Amino acid sequence: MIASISLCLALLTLTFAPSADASAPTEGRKVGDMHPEIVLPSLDGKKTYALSQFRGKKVLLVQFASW
Amino acid sequence: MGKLVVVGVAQEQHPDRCRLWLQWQRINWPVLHDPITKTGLTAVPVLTAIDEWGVVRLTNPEPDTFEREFLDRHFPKPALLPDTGPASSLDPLALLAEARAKNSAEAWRAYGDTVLLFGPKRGQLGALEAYRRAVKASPADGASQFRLGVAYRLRYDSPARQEGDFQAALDAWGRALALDPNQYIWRRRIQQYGPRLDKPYPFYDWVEEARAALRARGETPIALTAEPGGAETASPLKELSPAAPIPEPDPQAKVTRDAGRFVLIETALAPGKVKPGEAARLHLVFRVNGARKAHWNNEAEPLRVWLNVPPGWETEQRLIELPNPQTATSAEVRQTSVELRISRSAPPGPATLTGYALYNVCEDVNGVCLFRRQDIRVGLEVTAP
Repeated sequence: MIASISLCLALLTLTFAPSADASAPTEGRKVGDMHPEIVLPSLDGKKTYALSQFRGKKVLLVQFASW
Repeated sequence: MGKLVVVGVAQEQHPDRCRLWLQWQRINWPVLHDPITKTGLTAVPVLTAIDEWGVVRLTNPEPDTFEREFLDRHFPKPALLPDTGPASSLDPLALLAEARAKNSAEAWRAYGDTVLLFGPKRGQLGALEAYRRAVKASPADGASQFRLGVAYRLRYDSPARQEGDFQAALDAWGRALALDPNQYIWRRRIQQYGPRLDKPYPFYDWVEEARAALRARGETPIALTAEPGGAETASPLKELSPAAPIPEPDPQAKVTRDAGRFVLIETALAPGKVKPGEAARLHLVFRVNGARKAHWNNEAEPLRVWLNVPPGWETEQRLIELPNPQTATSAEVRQTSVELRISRSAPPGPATLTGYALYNVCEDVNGVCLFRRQDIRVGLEVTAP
């Protein structure tokens, strides 16, 4: 499991590299701060998700684009 | 895994394209759709590790240390849970009342966001008006200008499309970027449809590869409501090769004009405002007129477009030909785009690009088939260098 999680993160980092902008900022997301709430629909529009609904678990939030 | 939940947020104008990409990559974690940069990001990707209490613990974590620094660490419950800020209302009626009362860009944006994101059929009509009012309340609010562009483009891709929606979207995004040139997501939204000379990379060149891979796996690729146009799949270009000399097809304008409007032509220029010497991408969209029961005649010469390029301007093609499909007749939307570079000595102010389209079209199933010409005029603004 340990190896697979590291591999997953490495793959995520590489996968999104083509659309990467080097200075992607993290304003409002400093270590130690509460992450701002996010409430958005799913891509197919069928569900609404709130970041807070995942409280109680560790979350890796991946903000990306397919372009 | 149990220990970790991965949640995505996609910055996309077209959510089904992202769904296709996820299907191809076999990603099945929840992915949220943010077409309006509601999260406030200015660039992607951004990876954030958040603990069980909602506290940020790592930003853009390293694969080598992620488990040690995050997954395997115990984070105690904060003595006082920090404030995330006021919870935003999602009640559109309440937000509309507040927007009418305050008439501020922020209030109109809040209402527009809720209707666009959560209303029936994404509520794009109501959102468009809301963002118009936000821009009117504060023309210098880039966030409202960007959202206005998103709403115009959403309407353009819908059955409610109105002539000029695509250009209106590009113009709104252009105003947004001029107000905040460090907003890379906004910049990419324009570059997606813009000239190859300004592209950092091909945006959607992966779509055909994804479809082929999915079919090879025995899967049906997710259908796209808006197919990526040539500008969206084109590779960057460093220099514009001048168009090869080619005879003009109708120099004396002898072909009969399409007075019956069997074909409707829409143009858009990305960006709509350019400096002398800068490039733009001209988009041309051709629709057979359903009200005239028109359809393409594919058994004759293909649709062609001729551009009269002003002195000093450059283009990669003066004569553009759109090949016919294999069927004898069809009624699909046809579109193309072409690179332009404005003259380096163009004076500031309005400029016009002219040309014409030649096409074979028929009226009704056994009706008359015609060869017609339709003149094209595209206006743009040359800004000061």
